[in-house]
Amino acid sequence: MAMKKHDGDLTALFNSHTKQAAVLQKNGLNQGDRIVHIRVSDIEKHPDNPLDEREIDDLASQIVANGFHIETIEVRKMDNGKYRLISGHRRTAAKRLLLERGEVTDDTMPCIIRSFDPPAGSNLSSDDMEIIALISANRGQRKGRTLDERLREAKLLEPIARKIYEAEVAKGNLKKVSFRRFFAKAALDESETTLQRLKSLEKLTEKAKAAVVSGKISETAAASLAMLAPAKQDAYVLQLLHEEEIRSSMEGTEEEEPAGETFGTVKHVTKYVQNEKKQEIGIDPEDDEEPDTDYEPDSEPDSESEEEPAPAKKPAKGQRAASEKKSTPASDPDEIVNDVQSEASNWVTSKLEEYHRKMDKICFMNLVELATKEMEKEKDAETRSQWDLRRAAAQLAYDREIKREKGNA
Amino acid sequence: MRTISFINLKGGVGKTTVATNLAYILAESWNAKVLFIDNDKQGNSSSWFNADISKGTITNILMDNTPALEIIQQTRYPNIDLIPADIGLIEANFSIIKESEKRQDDILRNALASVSSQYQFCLIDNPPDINLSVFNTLALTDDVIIVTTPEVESLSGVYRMMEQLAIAQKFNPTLSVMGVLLNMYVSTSTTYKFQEEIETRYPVFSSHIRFATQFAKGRMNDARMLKKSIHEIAANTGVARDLYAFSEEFMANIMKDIGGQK
Repeated sequence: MAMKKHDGDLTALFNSHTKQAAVLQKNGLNQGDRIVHIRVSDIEKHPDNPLDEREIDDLASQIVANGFHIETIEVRKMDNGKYRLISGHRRTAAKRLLLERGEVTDDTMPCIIRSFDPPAGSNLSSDDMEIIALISANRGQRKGRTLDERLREAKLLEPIARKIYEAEVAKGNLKKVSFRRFFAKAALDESETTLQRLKSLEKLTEKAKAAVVSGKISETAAASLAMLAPAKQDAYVLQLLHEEEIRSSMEGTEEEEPAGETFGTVKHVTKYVQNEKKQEIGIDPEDDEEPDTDYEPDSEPDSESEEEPAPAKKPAKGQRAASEKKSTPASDPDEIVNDVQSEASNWVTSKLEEYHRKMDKICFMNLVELATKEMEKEKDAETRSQWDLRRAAAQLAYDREIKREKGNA
Repeated sequence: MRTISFINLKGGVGKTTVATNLAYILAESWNAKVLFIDNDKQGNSSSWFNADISKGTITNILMDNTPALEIIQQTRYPNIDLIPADIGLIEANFSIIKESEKRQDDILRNALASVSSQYQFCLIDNPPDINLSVFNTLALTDDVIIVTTPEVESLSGVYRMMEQLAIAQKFNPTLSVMGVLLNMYVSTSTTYKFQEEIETRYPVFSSHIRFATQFAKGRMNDARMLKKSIHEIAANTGVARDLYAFSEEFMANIMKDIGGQK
C-alpha cells in the first residue's frame, strides 16, 4: 500500500467554520472594491506616468494567449466624467491594439475606481496620493526600468517626498535621517549612492544616455562624464564608438589590439574627464609642475556625487610628500598623485560601504580618527603619507556632508 | 495598527533579536506606540521584556477568552506594551484545534480589535513552527518579514514557509511578505547564490545584518543579560548599525504604502 503523504497543511484539520472563511475570502478583493467595466474610450493616460509603453505587442499576444483575460486596472474618476489611469497603462494600450486589429470586440477594461484621500492629518493632497499610487503600481517591475524612466520617477516623487519628510520632522520623527537618505530609501527604494549617481546622470546628453542604456558605459563611469559640457560628452561617446568599430573589425585578424585603456571603463572616463577639466582651468595636462595644493575644492551644488573620483578635484595638503617621493623623471607626477588620491578616496568610499551607508557625521569623524591613529602608529614615511591622504579624504567627505546637511536644513 | 510578523520555520536565525531591537528603535527613535506579541512558548522576548507571566499570557487570550486589556502589560519602555507568552501555548494550540463551534484562526484578531487603535505598530515574534497560534497571528498580520541566515540549508525552510503563507493568505488576503531579511550575513559566494535564489521568489531587504564579530557577540550577550537593546549598550557595533539601517528601510517600506491603502 502506498504511503500517505502529509505535507504540513493544517487546513484539513480545521473545522467547517474556519474552512468556510477561506473559501469566502478567496477572491482577494477588499470589501467595498467593486470591479467596474469601463470603455477604453473613456480611459485616459496619466499625464505624469513615468513609464514608457514598451513591448505592447508582446503584451497583446500574451493577453490573447490567456484567453483575453486582463488583470484589473486602477483608475481615478475625473471631473470631466472620464477616468484617468493609475495602473494599467500598458494593459490598456494592449487592449487598444487588439481592438484596432479587430482581434477583440469587447471594448471595456476591468477597473477598480480609486479615490485618493490623504491619511488624516497629512499634508499631502489627493493629487500627491495619486502620484504615489501611480509609482507604487509600477514597483513590481523594478528591474525592467530604463534610465529615463527612473529619472522621471525621481523628479515626480521628490516634491512629495519632501512634503512627507517635513511633516515627519515637524512631528519629531526621522531623527538623524537626512532628506537625501529619506528620499533615497523611502521614495525610491535605492541606496543614497545610487540616488546621487542618478541625479548626476540627469546631465547626460542623449548620446551619452544611449551609450549607458546600451551598456557601453557603466552608470558609475557616466556619472563622471556627466560633469562635462555636452559637446565634450558627445565627443567622448563618438571616440568610444569609433574605438569599438576598430576593435570589432580586428576580431579574427592576427593584428594586436591597440594599446591603452579601454574606452568606457571607469578608469578611462575618469582620466578623460580629469584632463578636460584641467584644460578648462588652463593647466596643460602634460605640465610636469607640482599642482597647487592650497586650492579649495569647488562645491558643485547640483552634482552631489559622493563617488566623484578624486582625480577631478585638486589634491589637498599633505600630498606634496607623496608626489615628491614618488616623482621619477620617466612618469607623470600628476598621474601618480591622482592614483594615490583616488586610492584614498576609494578607501573612504569602501569604508563607508562597509559601515552600510550610515552616512551621517559620526561615521565620517570615525574615519578621520581612524586614519589619524593609523598614521600616528606608522613608522614608515610612505605609509604614513598614505594614511595622511586617507585622513584628508575623510575630512573632505565630512566637510562636504556638513555643508550638505546645512543646505538641507 | 500595522502588524508585522517575524517568521521562519528554522530556529536560531535571529527572529527574536531582530523583532525586539526593531521594537526598541520604533519606540525610541520614531516615537511610535508598539504592541509586541510574543508567540513563542520559549518566551525569550517575554523574559527580555521582564514580563510577569503570572498576570496572564497569550494562552489565556487563545484558550480562555480573556480580554486583551487584561493581558497587555506595560514594559520598561513607555512606548512598548507586551502580550507575553509561556509554555501554556502548547495547550492553547491543542485546544484551538479541538474547537468545533467557531472559527479557529481569528481569535487573536477579534480579541485585539478593541485595542488596535491605540498602537501604531504590532510586532509579533513567532516560534520556529507552524501551528494554530501562528495561524492566529498571521490572520492579524499585514506584513511578514522572513528572517533567515544565508545558508543553503535555510533555503528549503524558506520555501516551506512560503507554502504555509500561501495557505494563510486564503484566510487573510491582506497578508503579504514585506521581504526576506538576511541575518548573520557574510560576503561569500555561497551567500550571493542564496540571495540570488531567494530574490527570484521574494523581495529581499537591501539591508543585511552582518555576522557579528566576537566582540559584538559579547556585547549582544551582555545586552540580553542586562535586558537592554543592543542600541542601548553598543550602538556603534556593526550589527547594531545594520539593525538601525534595516529599521530605516522598514519604515521606508511602510511609508511607501501610504498611497496604496491595504
